Amino acid sequence: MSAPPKPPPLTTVESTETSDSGAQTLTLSVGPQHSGSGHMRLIVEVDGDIIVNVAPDPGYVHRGIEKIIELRNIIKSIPVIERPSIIDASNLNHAWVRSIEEIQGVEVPRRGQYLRTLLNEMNRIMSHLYWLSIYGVFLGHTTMFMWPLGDRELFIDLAEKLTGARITYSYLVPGGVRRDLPPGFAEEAVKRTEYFEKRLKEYDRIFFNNPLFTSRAKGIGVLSREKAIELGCTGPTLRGSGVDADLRKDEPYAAYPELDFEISTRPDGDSFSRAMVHMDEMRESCKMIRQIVKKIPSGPIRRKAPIVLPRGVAYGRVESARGECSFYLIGEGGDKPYRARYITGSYRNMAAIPAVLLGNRLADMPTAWWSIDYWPVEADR
Amino acid sequence: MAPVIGKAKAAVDISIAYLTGIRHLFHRPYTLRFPQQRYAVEKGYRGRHLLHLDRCTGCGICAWICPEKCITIVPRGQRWYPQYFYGRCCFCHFCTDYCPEFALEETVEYDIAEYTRDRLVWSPERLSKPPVKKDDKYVFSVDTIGGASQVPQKEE
Repeated sequence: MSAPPKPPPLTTVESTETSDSGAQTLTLSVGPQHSGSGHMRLIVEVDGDIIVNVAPDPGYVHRGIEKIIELRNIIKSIPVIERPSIIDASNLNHAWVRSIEEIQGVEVPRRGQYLRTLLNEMNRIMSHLYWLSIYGVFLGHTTMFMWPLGDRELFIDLAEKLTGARITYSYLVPGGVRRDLPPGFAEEAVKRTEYFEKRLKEYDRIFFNNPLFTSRAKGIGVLSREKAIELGCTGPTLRGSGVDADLRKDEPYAAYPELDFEISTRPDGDSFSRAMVHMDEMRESCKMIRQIVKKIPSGPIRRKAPIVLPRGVAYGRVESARGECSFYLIGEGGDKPYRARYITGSYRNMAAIPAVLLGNRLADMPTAWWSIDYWPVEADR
Repeated sequence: MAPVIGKAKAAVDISIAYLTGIRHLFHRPYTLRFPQQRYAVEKGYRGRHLLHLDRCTGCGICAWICPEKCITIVPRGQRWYPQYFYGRCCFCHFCTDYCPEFALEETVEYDIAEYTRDRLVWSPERLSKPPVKKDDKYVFSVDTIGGASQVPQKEE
């Protein structure tokens, strides 16, 4: 038996990196297990405390969902598709069923479309509230961490009445939805959205008008209109830079063409603008929920759809809470897709991370970074 | 003059923020002390499954549609029944939807955590027992005066 090889002698490692200008920079690794980055790593190079270079390093929570989808039939894929962003589950699910219905040629009944829109808008509020609570705790505002998480319960409880589950609903299926409105839902929804709008005014008073927040957010992490378009941003990040782009208006789907709502844009493109776009969207979603429970037509909620995916190609896209979420789906006649390309809002907004962070101070990183509402699990898929 | 106005406005805004927070010290709390105070879910909640042994034909459609492969069809004498491994179940209840004989049903029992892994395997006999009645009485309520909180359910 031979002896194990000796370990190499310890030597001092000398830095060979030199900068041309003579300026000394320090490379920091923020994450992947850092409360300020989520499940991803940001490799940040600082000069003093000015950020001179940022490289996002995604992939820490990659689960290979596109491959998992190829191995399961189209119904079994629904819970998997919700997993990348369980706080925004129904919007991701909607993109999936839209692409399937496009291939199958199934038309969803109008009541089913309204119920889908109802859950999507409730989910948008829940997702934005989660974002807001993390934003509060990033900025050291503990009350703003507690309140939105508490108020999420208003809508989680409503969703539980509607779907039977609190977060991962698996509610949208090809052809329609799984359950009808329970009795007494409409009155409860109106009461809760009206209460929530009052709470949003309190959020304004305690956080968004508070100089402790505005002085840290205004003018920080500016993403110009041209830059946002060039980088291909979507969702609140794009609308926070003054671009009026929203799939709910541009390519109306489900019950959105029949609803009266406005798209919120802010011209400045800084962290404050992006935060206010989220707040405006929550107000609009409350209005939409009230319109839906008032206008919802009677009729069937689901039409029979085959479990087989015929030969064909489809591209289904929806406006999720973090931007455009889309599926490019190829069917080959079996119950499993040949290929499903899954692109989420966070993945599209990843390109904006260096753009908003460069030139800022390291202490401003949480403000600028989290205002993009980047959800690493959704981006890695 | 402008910096003075700016500072005065900042002072006013901060005072408003503090007052908004202090006002909520006197509101009812959102949270429950869980083991003593239990949240009551409504009928239709997707909790653990209830199996009707008399209706089940052992066809295995539930095991086929299960996305997490948590259902095994096990023999009991001449018949076959599903057995659930709740360590994997994601409570999507596609099995309940797809059961052609309506042998599966969702229950309001949500508190099924166990200390060991083998206790998470629910045999057909265990699944067929109706849920244990626990003292679940707190519900989430919103009213204009007290705000949102968990309150004891009204007796009917």
